[in-house]
Amino acid sequence: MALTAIEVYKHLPKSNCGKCGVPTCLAFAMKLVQKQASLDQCPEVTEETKQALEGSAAPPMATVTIGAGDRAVQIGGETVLFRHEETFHHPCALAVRLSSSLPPAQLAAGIERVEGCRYDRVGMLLGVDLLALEDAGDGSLAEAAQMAAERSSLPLVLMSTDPQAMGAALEHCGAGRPLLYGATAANLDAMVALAKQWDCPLALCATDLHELVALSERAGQAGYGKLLLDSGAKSLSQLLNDQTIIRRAALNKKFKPFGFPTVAVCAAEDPAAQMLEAITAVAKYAGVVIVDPLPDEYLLPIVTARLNVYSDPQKPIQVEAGMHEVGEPTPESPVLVTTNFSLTYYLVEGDVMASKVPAHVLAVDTEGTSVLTAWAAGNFSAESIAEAMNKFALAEKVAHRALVLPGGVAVLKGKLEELSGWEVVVGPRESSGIPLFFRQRGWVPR
Amino acid sequence: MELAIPVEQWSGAVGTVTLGATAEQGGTRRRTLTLGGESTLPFLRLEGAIPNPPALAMEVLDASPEKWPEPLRAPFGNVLDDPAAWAVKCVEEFGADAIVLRLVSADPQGQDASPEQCAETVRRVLQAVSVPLIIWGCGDNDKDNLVMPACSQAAAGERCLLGTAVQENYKTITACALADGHLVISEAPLDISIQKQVNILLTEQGLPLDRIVMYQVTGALGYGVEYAYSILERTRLAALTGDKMLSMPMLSVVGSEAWKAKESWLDEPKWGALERRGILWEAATAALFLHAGSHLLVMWHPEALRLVRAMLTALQPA
Amino acid sequence: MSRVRVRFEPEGETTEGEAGALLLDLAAKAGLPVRSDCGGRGICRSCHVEVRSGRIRRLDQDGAEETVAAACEVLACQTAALTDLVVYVPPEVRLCPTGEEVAGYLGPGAAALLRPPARGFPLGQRLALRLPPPSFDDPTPDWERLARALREYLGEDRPLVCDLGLLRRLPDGLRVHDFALSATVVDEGDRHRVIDVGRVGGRAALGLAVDIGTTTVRVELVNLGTGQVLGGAAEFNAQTRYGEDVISRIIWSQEHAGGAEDLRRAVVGTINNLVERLLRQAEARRQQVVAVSVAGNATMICLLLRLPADTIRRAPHVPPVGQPPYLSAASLGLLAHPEAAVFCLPAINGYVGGDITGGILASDLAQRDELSLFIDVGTNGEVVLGNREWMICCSCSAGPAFEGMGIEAGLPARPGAIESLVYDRSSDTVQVRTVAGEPPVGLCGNGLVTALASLLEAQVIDRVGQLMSDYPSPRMRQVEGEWQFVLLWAEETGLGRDLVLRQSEIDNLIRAKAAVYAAVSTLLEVLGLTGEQIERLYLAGAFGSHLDVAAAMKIGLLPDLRPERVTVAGNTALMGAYLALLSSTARRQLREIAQATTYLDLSSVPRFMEEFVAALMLPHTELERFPSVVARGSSGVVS
Repeated sequence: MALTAIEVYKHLPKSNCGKCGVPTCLAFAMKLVQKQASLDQCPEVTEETKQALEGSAAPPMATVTIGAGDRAVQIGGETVLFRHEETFHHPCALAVRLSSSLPPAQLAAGIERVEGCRYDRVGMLLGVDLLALEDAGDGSLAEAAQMAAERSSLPLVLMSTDPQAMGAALEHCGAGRPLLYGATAANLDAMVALAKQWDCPLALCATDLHELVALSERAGQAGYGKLLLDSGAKSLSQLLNDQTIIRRAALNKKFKPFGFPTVAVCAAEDPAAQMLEAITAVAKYAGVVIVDPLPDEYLLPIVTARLNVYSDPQKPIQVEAGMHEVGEPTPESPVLVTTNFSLTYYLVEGDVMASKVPAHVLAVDTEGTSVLTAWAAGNFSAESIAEAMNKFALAEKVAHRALVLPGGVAVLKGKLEELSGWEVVVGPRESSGIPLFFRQRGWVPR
Repeated sequence: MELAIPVEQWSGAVGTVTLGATAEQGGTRRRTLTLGGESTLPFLRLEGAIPNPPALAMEVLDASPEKWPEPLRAPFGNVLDDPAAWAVKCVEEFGADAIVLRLVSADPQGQDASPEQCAETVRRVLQAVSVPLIIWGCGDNDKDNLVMPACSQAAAGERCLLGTAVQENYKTITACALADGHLVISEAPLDISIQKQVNILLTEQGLPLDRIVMYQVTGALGYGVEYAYSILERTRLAALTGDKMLSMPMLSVVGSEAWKAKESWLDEPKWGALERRGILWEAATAALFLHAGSHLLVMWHPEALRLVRAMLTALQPA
Repeated sequence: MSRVRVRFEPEGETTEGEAGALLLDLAAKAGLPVRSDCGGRGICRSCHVEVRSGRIRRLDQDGAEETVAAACEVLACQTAALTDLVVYVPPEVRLCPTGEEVAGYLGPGAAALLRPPARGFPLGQRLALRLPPPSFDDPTPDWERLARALREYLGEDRPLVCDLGLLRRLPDGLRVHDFALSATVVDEGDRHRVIDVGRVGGRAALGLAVDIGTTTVRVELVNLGTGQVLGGAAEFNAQTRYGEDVISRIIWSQEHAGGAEDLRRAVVGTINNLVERLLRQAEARRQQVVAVSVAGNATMICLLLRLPADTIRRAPHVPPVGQPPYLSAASLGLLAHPEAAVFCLPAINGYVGGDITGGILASDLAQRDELSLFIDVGTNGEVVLGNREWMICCSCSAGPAFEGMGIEAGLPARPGAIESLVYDRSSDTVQVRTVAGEPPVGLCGNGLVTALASLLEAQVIDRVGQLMSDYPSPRMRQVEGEWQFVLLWAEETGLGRDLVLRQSEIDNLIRAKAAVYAAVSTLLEVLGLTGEQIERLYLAGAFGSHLDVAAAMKIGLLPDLRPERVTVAGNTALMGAYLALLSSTARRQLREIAQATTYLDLSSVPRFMEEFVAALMLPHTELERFPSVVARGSSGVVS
């Protein structure tokens, strides 16, 4: 069990010296618990304290980097089993695998396609992170690796259990620090040697969890720590089971052999089944997910699921700032202004809907805070509302010039009228008063 | 080092809820549907039983869905303006475990169908299919409070699931369920505390726990699904750690949410083949809800349902 | 400009002003301040009064002038008097203090600070000295002679200073009294200042303990030698004219030319009124007042000092100063000896001020091993959790509802305000107790709390506070689309109309109680503690003093604790100021408390929002957190 802030505090000097950057030792303890500070920021910390606290603070799962340069990806370093407990930190990497034995033209086309798998989503690019080359066992891996290194900027995954083929491929692409997939009971020593030589992350490919423990311990004894784990699950059910056990053992039991991110290779024949397999792996703890070169309509749900699962649940839920339509408003419909804090916005939207009067709702960006909080902090002011009215071109969307202001910030009326030139109508303090307010104003359902 | 399989000792379990009543039980269903009962996390058999796999219901609208895109209309042929025929197709051809009858026609801003008309549709659908029925109002509180009593009476004894009870409007629907032997969907707006509050309000009206199914307003993949995902996970954990008031099975609306997403219908070549996209978006959304712990998914497209069914099979132990 | 006389009914208080003065200001001048929730902007209508005769100008009607023939309802903030007027002020519009003084609680540790030697020095003191007269053997100059004696007396080596005026008076002063004299010395923290010399046995040195609340200002006149309280008085903070809450006032001070000076003058005026009254009652002189200690939230202190307060409002809510240096009364315009020392109790943060630091000191929270919770619900709610080892605090915007804001039937505690309300379901009757036993005109904070608890018990509302629309009583009715419950019929009130609680107002109250409880549970949560670990609860502030603790637990405003663990602590801010006035040890401890207390900004804790939503039920979504409430078997509790 993680220590509470009070338990951590008991070990701190209690001098409130402020040298750690926060005013009190208790505040520092709270930061430590939330992993927003580290113990060495405290100048007065004693050895005993370090021992008492760092045992519990050591990361239970290693963070591993695949690739080099701009497009290198970090995975692992996870601290929780459920995203609501904190957040998942490093989005799992999605790899698309191509067979090394593809004819050069096809391989080149395949590489180009994988490279181009980027989907634009409200200002974010989602896509494939890694290009995996699967050794067909015919001596083609090295050439394929050469082509991939030349034509693709993506970090590579070399999938081979043959140390010789792996070594040859590394000659062409080793500088890019590809993921070596991987080490088995039979080839572990040779693979570890290659991984060491090229300073690459190495995946351990077992046939079950117990063998995986053994491989991990051997790699550890050989002095190598840039590891990934694959339990060799053969079914979706087994995958979920193994991934859960690995994550739990690492986090809850501090089981060192499992303190690494995992790899899930999705192999279902049917592309839709493979997509669902990949989504399962994304949701349930995989660090690298390897799929076939599926068409875009299959890859898009996978990368979107990853975006969702790895988003930070601590961030306040916001709606998009701007003009929203409730019902089917016309240019004559009323315009209400509120903040972009989702709870606030949805209350307003719900009550407008309940009124059955279609309306426009202007959500002002208040960094996801409610009307009164934002007003108190100066983020919901006559200036910011007037600015949003301009930015979202209110004047072009409606024919009238009247804006309904939340009753709680009626004080903004004069200034806002001055700045915007609109008539500002003070609405109810509580959004539950909207239907009545509309009726009183003579705005009726359409 | 020996691996000790880390097994959690849960103090609680998800409650069970049975939809539908057979002739012996006072109804006319040939099949009933039991949800919940797990004493473990979703699909994780290593520490507890999963007596009832998640179920897949299909949604039938009582007014022809004019705005549905072609890939969604195609599999239904000409039944979309006949709720009873539509329901039959869902059950017999597509294998739905239950039918959700959504009374969109009651919407006062739309067709404004009368309570009697809605009740008649309920009767027809009940006669047409033998699986349990979920009766879902149009979402207008005042109108639903008129429609639901009529529909509830028309289905008396069938142990239907009635939806939905919300914090601001739960008394009529609960009274209907109590009077006519039905169950109630307890709805919350993506908030675990409000879910629990609605559950408490329902039980304080006398509705037993085993007649409540929980529903968090859903969101689709790419459109806020993560909030529902975490709330469902937390709700399951609450049930497993002994919180009775959050131990009921959970329902998720997948089809209508997934097909709202523009990925399902927008003509954008970069996103791949349009005729498959909606189906895959629906299936992918469903997969996330299943992993979060949902017990009953409300689906739209039969192919999405088939894919999800296959995934459920793959999640059975070998 | 001509003068007008305005008579305010029903009291018949008359005041004079210039023609064109606002009724709002004239009423205040007459000693009958009226509510002005929107700060005089003509928006909230809380200041509606009735003009019965005379000629007025209506600012809200483009300055139209009219001669009133029949009684005419107007807004006091939007109406100017042009001629002599008669104005009726309805009871619910009144702002006036009850006059009832709240006794402050003093923990044994704090009480010990009042006794030597623990107490150290008062903030100001008069010392009787006998100096050896100068001689050829001891030609020490006058000032150094005095300083030497004082230092011996004070027993410390902090520098001793004085100003030029004193030096000029000193030679005569010493010799007139034959070198036997009294010196008035004030403590300025890092030094002592001699501000006066006079004969031995003159008038006593006095001090003022001041609590500047956002709504109410309280002053006690204290004998600095004996600690005896010579008198206390309270008055509404005249800054209310510029806004009910701190944020409105900060905005006023920023956005109006001379706004900061308006606010400073308003609060200084309020304090000086009270001081004048107290001096008159005690037959004392202004020159006797040589020390002033002031407790107030950070905004109140800023506005008193006319410091820019805008940074308090904006994240990260930093006040310009936590502990202002020792100031002179003259520099602040306070009615006292011009060189009287003014000590402001140090603030922890922009939202947790010296009033709370004072409360921590007075309650002994920082002295004890037991885990204590300190709650002060005023216009804002502040919560402190801690013990001898650590303290953490936060602030939540909760209070206004309990002070009657945003609730038409709500009122500050004043004669006629309902303190307690019980509704009986079987007889469909309501029993009330009002302040001073006067006919009920509204509900004060505790009236609202007891009403809510009673309506829940009677199942008039459900657990989320929704009025049961099918409740079988004519009291339940729908007006303009909103459900409301009639608490008192018109003839039972002093208002002449029905006293109701509307659905939206109940929602408001529940949000306020949820904010307070959620603040407590969030503090516990971030530290990994639970409610059962709380060993003592101090309820501070006027609201806390009149609170029906059982009812407050029934609705989940307070955590469920055994009654013997609850201490009603009263005005601890004033007690803190009193301690600071009399004890240098207290002043040092206050600084230590302010430094050692961790401030938690609730808006930065995602958990707070969840705790808040969970607290929106009566008593709470997690019923098991309220075992005694559930056990007492309020209706319909599930097992």
